[in-house]
Amino acid sequence: MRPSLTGSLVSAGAVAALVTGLAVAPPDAVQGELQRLMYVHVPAAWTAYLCFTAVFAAGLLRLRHPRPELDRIGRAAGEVGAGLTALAIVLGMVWGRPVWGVWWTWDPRLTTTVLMLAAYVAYLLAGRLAGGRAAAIAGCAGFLTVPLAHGSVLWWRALHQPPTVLSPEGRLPIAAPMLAALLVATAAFTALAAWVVARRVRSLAAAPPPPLPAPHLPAGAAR
Amino acid sequence: MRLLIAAVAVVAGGVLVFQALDNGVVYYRTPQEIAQEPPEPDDRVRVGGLVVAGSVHTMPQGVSFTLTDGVRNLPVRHTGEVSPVFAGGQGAVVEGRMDGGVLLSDRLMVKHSNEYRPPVASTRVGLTEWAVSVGDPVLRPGPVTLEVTNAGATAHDLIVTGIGVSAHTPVLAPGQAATLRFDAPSGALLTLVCGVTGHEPLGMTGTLRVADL
Repeated sequence: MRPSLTGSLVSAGAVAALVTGLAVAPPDAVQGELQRLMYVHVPAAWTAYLCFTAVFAAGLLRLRHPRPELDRIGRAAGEVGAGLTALAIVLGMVWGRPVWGVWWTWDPRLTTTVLMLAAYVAYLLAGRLAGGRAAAIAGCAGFLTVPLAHGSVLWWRALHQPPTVLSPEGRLPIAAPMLAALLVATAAFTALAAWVVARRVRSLAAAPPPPLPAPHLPAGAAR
Repeated sequence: MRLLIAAVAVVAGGVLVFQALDNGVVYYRTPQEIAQEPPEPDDRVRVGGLVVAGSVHTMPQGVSFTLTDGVRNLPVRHTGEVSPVFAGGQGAVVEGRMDGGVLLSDRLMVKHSNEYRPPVASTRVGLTEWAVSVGDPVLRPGPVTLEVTNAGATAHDLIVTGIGVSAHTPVLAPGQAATLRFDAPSGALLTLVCGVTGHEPLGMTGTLRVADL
């Protein structure tokens, strides 16, 4: 198979993220090497937000102009976003265990992120069981969990720290090389997610459409 | 039209959920709230606040410390695991039950800040009546430099001790400064005191941590 240009660019971004995250950025004063988990945890959560934004946009458009391409874009973004949300949760647990001292606690950020994962699953299930229109409605409603998850640490008392880069204070309490590593990793994750979503949309278009639920025929219709 | 109704319903539902969460979600209570509305002796409570610097003492199976919200202090005796990141001067959330004004905790969670920066090789230390102030709380392992200034109105000096560390400045007159250089071992906890007789009990103590890298 011939390597594609976009695929090569995405791979180059991943390598750049690895190098900046592991070699360029210094360890943190308080957390030491563990803080490097930030360079995968934060981009995973960020791209999960982005994927839900794509689900929302495709869903809104689809409700106005029902087209199968929009359903495929929404479904692909939903699948990738659900995986990224799960990844962010798992990486957060791996980070929380040594630093917070616990694997899990029902703090507002963790709770709303689980809600977001549930909204993703509900969206994908709706698409499978009830068709594109129901899925679009579920996706648009479920998108509300994104501002909820992001705002949770600002609105309520939480164990999770407030945002560093997207903080409303407008200052960046992070050393420059660490910020560079975070931004490179976020760009690489975004490019990778966009590439995977685009490929998934193409493969969904090539595959035969999923069988529709059997229609309820009136009794005697088979005769 | 149906789309509009659906959109309005979704937004209204969202606002309702938000209101419910806003009123109902209190992940932790503050020491002040505990003092105003003391929980029943057997109630499990979750309290969050700032760990008062210098209040942390190790116990046989845990730590004791004071949690503050800036208004009221709550003494905590924690039995169980302690995160290596736990230290005075930063946030913590504890779970347990109240016993005679003391929180007996069995779950201690460190609330770290949203600040990220590498450990420093050089920091400033200020000596005043009666405190030892430290610019950065965490040093980089290896050769380090402390810029010590007597910003007080009487003579002070600085003695730094810890496992593998013993360094001190001469006695500094008010306004005088000195540079202290030594090798900071990885993971060490350094104690800073003023060695002038009687100044340490008055409060001239502090700590510096060396990052464990």
